[in-house]
Amino acid sequence: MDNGYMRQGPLDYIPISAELEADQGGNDATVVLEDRGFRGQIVLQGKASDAEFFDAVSDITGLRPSKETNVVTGGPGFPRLLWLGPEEWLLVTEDEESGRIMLGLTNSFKGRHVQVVDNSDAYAIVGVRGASARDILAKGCTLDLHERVFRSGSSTRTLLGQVQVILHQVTDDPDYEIHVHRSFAEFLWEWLVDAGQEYGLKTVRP
Amino acid sequence: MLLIDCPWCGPRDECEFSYGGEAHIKRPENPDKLSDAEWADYLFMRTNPKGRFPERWVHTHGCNRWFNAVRDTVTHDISATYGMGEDGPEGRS
Repeated sequence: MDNGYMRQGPLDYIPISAELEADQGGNDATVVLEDRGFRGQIVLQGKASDAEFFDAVSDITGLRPSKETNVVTGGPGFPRLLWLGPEEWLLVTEDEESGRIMLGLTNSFKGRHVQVVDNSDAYAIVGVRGASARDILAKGCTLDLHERVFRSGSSTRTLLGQVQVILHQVTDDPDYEIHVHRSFAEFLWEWLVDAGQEYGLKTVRP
Repeated sequence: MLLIDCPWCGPRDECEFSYGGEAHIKRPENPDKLSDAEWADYLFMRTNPKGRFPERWVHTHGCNRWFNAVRDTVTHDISATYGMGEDGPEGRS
C-alpha cells in the first residue's frame, strides 16, 4: 500500500485522443470523465442488531454506518461510508489512510462475527461530473436518478452498461463516482466515452 | 421487464435480480430415514402451478440479499415480497 513502486491503476494505459482531453480542471465541458485514482476501499459486514459493531466503526472512522437504504455517511470529504445493503457498507478513505484504518478495524473486531475486507485494489473509481452526467448514466442504468430519489449522499450497487458498479452521488453538481471492478474498468470507461459523445464529454487524465 | 420490489432497496429492475426457484422448501429433519423416492422428491420435485407461486429471488446486483416473492406465473404480477424465513401471504405451502 505504501509501496508506489510498480503500482499501476487499471485505467493508466487507456488511450485518450487529444480532442477528448479537457483543459486542466476540465471546466470547459458540460460533462467530464476522470480517473479518480487510488483510494482505500474497505468492505464492512456486521449484524444490524450488533450495537457494538456500530460503536466500534464510529470510534475508528468517525462515521456511523447508516441503517437507511442508499444513505452515505460522511462525504464529500474522506472518509465516507457507503450503504450497500442492510448489513454491508463500503468505507472509502484516502489512499494513505487505508492501512491505518484497516489495522484499527481488524484489531477491534478480532474474534467477533464481523467481516472487514480491504478491496482497495479490486476496484477502479471513475468520476463523472457536470450538467449532463445524469443523462449519460441514465442511458445504461435502470435506477431513477432524479434528485428526488437519488441525490448527493446516495449510494447503491446497481448495473451500468450491464456492468455491476457501486454508484455514489457525491455532490449536487452532480458529481458521481463509480466504483467498478478493475477488469471491467476499461470497458466501462469506453462505454461512458461513447455515451457522452453527444454531450461533448471530455476526459481528464489522472 | 419486471419491476421487483426488493424488501431492502425498493422497486428495482428485473435485470438486477437472479431467480432461486420455489420458496419454502424445508430440508427433511432426518435424511437418513428417507426412502430414495422421498429424498428425490425433496431434491427435484417442484410444484408448477398456473397462478400465484411463492419463489425465491436474490438482489445480485444490489444489496445481495435473498428474499421471497409471490409471482403469478400467468401474468408475472408480483403481489408480495417478504424476507427469508417469513411467512408470505399464502403461508408456507
